[in-house]
Amino acid sequence: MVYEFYIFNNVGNCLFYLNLRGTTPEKNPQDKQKLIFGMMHTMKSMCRKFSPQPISVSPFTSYVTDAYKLHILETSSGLNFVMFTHPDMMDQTHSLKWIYSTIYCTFVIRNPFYEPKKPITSVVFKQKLEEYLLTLAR
Amino acid sequence: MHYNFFIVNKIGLLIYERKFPGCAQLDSSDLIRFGATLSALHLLSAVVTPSGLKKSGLKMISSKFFKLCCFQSPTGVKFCLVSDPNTTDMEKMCKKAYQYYSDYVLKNPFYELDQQIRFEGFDREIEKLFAIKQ
Repeated sequence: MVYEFYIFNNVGNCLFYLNLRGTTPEKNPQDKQKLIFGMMHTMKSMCRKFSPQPISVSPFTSYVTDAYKLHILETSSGLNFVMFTHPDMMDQTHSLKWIYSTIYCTFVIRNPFYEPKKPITSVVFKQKLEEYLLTLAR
Repeated sequence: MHYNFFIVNKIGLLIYERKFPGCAQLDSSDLIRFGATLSALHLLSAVVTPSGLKKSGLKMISSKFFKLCCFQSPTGVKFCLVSDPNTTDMEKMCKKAYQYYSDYVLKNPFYELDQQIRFEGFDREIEKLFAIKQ
């Protein structure tokens, strides 16, 4: 089951946010988004240090707590796709890649009215993404 | 296969560190930074919990080349094990290490709380614990 979905750009601005739990929205979502991005940045640099083979790209894919699991996909352009799910979910790297290559590229990048680095407001993108994320629940 | 084992105390100081063959090259400043970073990440991961769920700190970090398991005792001491991605039962081993920590470190009358652990008996048990299951 997917709880929340975020897209961050390379400098840490949140371009897109989706809450699938239907709970009351947070008082100040910007603060939380900054925390999430900061935490991911730390986690990535730590993972780079710990990896037995020297590497340049971030090898970090997910972490789990008692309450949730966080999955992340970093694209080569610096976009970060972040997903909060139930802790028992399997590795979701493939789903995130699919969201990037099929939903994001089709409905955001190919949209002539979309300005790069601005928040995503496309209704179709939101609808398609929501449909896809709900199929992951099963 | 295991790479590293750490014990971090409740204020984020590294009190025990063990390297196994094949681990990443880490110098002493990296290790000190690791203790503080891990405590911060543990706290932050609880803060960003989606609203309405019970807040709790991180248990396992997965990446392409390794897994990091973090087990926190009720008193706030963190036991971290870094292993290759196919290892299972990491939490069980951390709990076992916690048991040795209570037996060989806490019951030692010469041990001062929150200080570096330098005891042969504990070293030996840790070596045995992580060597058998490789």
